[in-house]
Amino acid sequence: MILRLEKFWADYGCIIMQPYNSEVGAGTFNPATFIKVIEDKPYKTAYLEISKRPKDGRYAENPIRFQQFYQFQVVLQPSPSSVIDIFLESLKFLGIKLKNHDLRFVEDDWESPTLGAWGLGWEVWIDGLEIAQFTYFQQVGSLNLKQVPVEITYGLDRIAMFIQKTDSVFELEWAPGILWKDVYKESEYEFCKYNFEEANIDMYKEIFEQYKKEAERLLEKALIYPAYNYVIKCSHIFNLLDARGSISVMERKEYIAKVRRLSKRVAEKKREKTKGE
Amino acid sequence: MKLDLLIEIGMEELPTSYIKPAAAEFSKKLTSTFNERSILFEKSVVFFTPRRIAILFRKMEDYEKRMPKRIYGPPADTAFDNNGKPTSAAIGFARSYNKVPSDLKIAIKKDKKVCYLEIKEKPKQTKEIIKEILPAIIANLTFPKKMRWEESGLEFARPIRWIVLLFGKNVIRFNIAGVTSSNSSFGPRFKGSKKIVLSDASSYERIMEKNYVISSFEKRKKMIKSGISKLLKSSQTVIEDTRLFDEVANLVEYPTVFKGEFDKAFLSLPQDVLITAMREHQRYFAVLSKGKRIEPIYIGVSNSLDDNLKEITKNHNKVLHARLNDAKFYWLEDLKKPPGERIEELNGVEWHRGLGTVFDKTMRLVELSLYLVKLLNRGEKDTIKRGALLSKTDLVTNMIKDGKEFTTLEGIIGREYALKSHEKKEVAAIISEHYLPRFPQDVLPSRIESAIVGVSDRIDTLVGNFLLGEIPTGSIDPFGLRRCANGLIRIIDEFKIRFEFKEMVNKNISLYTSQEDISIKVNNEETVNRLKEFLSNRLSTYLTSLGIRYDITDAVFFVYFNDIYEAIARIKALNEEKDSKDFERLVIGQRRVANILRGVKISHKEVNEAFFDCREEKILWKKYDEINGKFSESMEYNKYKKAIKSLLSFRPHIDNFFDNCLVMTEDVKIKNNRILMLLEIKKLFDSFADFSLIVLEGEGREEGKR
Repeated sequence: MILRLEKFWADYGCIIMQPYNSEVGAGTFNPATFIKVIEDKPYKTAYLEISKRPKDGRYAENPIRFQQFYQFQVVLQPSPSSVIDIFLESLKFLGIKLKNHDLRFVEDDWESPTLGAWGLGWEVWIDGLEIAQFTYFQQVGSLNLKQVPVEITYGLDRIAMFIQKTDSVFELEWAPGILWKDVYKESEYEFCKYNFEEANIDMYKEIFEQYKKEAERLLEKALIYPAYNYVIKCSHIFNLLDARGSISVMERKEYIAKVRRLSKRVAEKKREKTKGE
Repeated sequence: MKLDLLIEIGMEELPTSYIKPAAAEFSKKLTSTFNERSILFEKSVVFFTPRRIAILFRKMEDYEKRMPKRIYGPPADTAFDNNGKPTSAAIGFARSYNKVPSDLKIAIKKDKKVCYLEIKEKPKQTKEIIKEILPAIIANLTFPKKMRWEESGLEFARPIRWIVLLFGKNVIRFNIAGVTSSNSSFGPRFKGSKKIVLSDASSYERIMEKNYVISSFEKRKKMIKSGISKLLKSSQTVIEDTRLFDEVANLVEYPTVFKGEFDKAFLSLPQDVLITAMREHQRYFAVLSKGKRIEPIYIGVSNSLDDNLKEITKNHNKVLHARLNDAKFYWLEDLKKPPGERIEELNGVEWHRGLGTVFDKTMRLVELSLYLVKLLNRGEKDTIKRGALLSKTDLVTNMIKDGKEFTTLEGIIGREYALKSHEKKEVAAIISEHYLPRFPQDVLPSRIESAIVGVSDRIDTLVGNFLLGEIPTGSIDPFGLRRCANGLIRIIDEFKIRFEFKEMVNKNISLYTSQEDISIKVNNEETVNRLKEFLSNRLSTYLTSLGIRYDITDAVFFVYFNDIYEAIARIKALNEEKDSKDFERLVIGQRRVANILRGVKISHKEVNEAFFDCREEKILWKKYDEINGKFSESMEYNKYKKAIKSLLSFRPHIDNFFDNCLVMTEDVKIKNNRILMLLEIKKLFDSFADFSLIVLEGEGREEGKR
């Protein structure tokens, strides 16, 4: 499936990137999206992303919710006018016969408070199942973009379930004769246990502050990518602390504001640099 | 020549809640522009689906209708000399419009004779005008949120992908946001968005339907309704929910209804959780049996044909299963901790910036509720105390905190958790009912205990916001204070909840200021007055909705506000008498009293009966004594109808007095004594309402007076 999507989008002219090597909450966090779109130039990319969502874990008991998702991310900047048709083509390319299904685009305005990014778009539903997110970015890093990018995020686990007609992700055939549960059930459960019960709160609160300082220091030196790397880490730590239930609603707002300020500064530095070129 | 005009805007899927209002606005703006430009048409038909808004104007004239335009020139006496010959002024004026002086006509303007020319302008073609006006109308359509997507930077709800603009059989071409209008529309996505060439405007609806687009909203709704009745047994009904019905009808271009099912084991979850899980995210209708029990089935509406409905249904079932699993996860997690143990946790939830946490609010709620219980001597004290204490605990449960789709269960889920942890059912009821009414047509609490907590909660919200100066103005009311006040008034009226407004507010303010985490400058007097003004406006609106005139309302408010319930009761009593035979004469009499007393300065003395020298004044004074006694007694026992009846019984005596006795008589002693008597009578009336503010039949009621 991943190979097919890579082929489809490579043929369309996308640069095929790879998953980022640090925990991210969504493909948008990958610098191949967040930093590149700020250049505000024609740009096309597609890549796999393994997204970590500690709070969504269900101890491997829920058939479609887990703490780790396989996403396939596509960014087209500017957005082509036939973008939805192209996207639907790609679903057909994966073997989904659209005319036999209940296809709906349901309003979903996407927002990443920590990235200072938001956009308007949809959840794409097939027979009531959300399989993709479709977003026209309006702001990234709290900045406006002239060339409006469109982001498509495929939920690969769900699409695979749909194609293989399984009731649960556990029964997905991962390789011939090997199921998802053989590969991931153990680690899924253990990560849930860790995220909800074991993650070291004091340690994370401390390194959050350290990483934040490191990001700020690197920003002073205009080392954008390394600085952003620490912003991503801060964001993941915040997600962990949140899942662990160790921050109050008010603290939660403060954490989000801290990360957003950092990502905003990354975006501003990047814009300055792009203009200077 | 008359032709049909079709305008279709094709878009990427609009948010469901935007569609209907946008179509209505588009149609309205076009219609009023056509009216302004005198382009006549027979009628307009509005179509919309998630991907298109289309307006069809039937039998539209192909030219605007233009009346000759008058252009005024010099006054007649400068344009023509004494012999009636045109002067150079007249010649010049005519020439500048390519006319001759004999074309000049004369009209009267502001009592003066003035020359004018009638200029017939060539009427413009309808198609030219449409080209002119359409871009701005489209660009200015209002949506809750707009977006940019291409270079021109046009803002619209979602990207515009095509425009059909047909006048009869002809295309009118124009450009907007990189799209050129044509005669090509597109079919539904499940048919691959095939191009549909429209040969003329009039057959739009039929051709679209042939291509599986049901462009009429009403027709889609009808199809869904009949689909549902085919799938359900006669003993079953879908849950009544017009909002969901409209939403579903606007999520599809071609509705196909299906019946799905879920595992019976989930029926152990509270009914409201099941309904919410189906409605909020999946947009399914829950199905109820005759006994209002929920059935393990649901109704969905698919955006497709019915070729593959079995598989589609099976897939929908799977998704609902996962959602219900999620609800069960929250439910079981939450049950581990009873509401009574969650109160402290509310410290972590900010209620309102600058006004502390939900824990703080809870503590104030308990105090205010207990204050009211004592004052009213109604309701069970311990129940109210416990209910107030637990009223907000569900805010920190997983169901409300995390579960996006379950936040609408606020209050309701708290009740369920309370019942599960063996709280009294009256306590549990407070948790869900103190939020009632949530909207204008909503039901009220069922018990006085819930009503008392509801009143306390609303007063506390209003007072807090007013302390911060966050007072609604115009359309700006971010915290829903108007709705809050409306709910407050309804509860007070229905449950006859009486309290001294000023004291209650002051008590509430002292609760705020005694909190450690709150530092606000407080001006009690000002807060009370501003709240009073705000509430009396809401009260006027409320009473108007009950059919009571504002002048009746104002008459009472002018002299009395302090107990909201009493103000309402007085107004209602007064309103009931407004058509009685004595009422009008009484009002006139009171106005005479007010006129006479206006500007009179007199040192206060007792009325001295020895100075009476007119028979009617003696009778009036005797009646005053009687009526005063009856009136005061009625007021004391809150019998406002009786009180107003006794005031009405004054009518013949006041009339007789004015008919037979002269107030402004020469004898100062007698005059002053009469004035003192009238002052006493006015005082009595004023203690109920200012009757001189009441507007009588045939008199204009000026809104501006208020």
